[in-house]
Amino acid sequence: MTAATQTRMLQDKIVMERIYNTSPARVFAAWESVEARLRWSIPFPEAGAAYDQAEFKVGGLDVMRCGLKSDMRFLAHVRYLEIINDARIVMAESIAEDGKIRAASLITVEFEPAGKATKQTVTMQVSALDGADMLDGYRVGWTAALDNIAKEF
Amino acid sequence: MQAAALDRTFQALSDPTRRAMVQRLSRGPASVSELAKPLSISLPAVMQHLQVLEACGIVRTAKVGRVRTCSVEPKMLTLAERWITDRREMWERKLDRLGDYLDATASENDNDEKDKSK
Repeated sequence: MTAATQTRMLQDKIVMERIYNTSPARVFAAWESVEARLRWSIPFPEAGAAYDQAEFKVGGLDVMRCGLKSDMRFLAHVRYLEIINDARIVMAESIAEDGKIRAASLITVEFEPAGKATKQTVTMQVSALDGADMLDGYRVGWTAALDNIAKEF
Repeated sequence: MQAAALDRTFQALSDPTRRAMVQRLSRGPASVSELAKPLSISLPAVMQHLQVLEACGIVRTAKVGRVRTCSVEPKMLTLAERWITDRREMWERKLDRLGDYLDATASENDNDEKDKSK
């Protein structure tokens, strides 16, 4: 690798399964409705999210700010690639911070009936970027982390 | 990264002297006295800070002869690795919350005849 201007990327595939005791239609609706999403998709009390645009349809785009309530520093764009009612949602998501892309993901959500319940499988193929001017992973990782930490104090 | 480990890391890095030491070491390994020089603090004070940084795995030190060399622990996660780990954790929480949401709204929904999709 010829270093200086290289941006290091890291790929990962994350698969998460859940069984919900309800119909696929209700689980699907919880993803479809922005109102519902704002209720369940805030991972912890200090976190916040706000939609600038929401377009749940094939080819549609969501634009959302998220992060801590006091600092919604991340800008997410979600493009819906495929929507099959009550069965599947495929979306491409990018997340930027300070105008720079941090990660891009292909997210597939599948809903399958499992008796009276629903098996939901979320598969995320993530490419995360370490940042520009990468000499090596940990050095830039640490410099950026230290810069972020410095802002905290 | 585990939350407790992250807490320790943040605590270790909450000190400006320790941040300066890590920043110096991120450019390459250094001896304790080399670390102490630009900081204008005593060697014992540097050693104390090093112990904190070593305890949370940010820095490791090795004594070769009479010289203790310090370096940044390369196993520490890069920003991208941390991003992915955080993201997985965040999504796990979100999906649990989706379950809670579905449970909490189950009765509302029954009264509502059927899901209204907008």
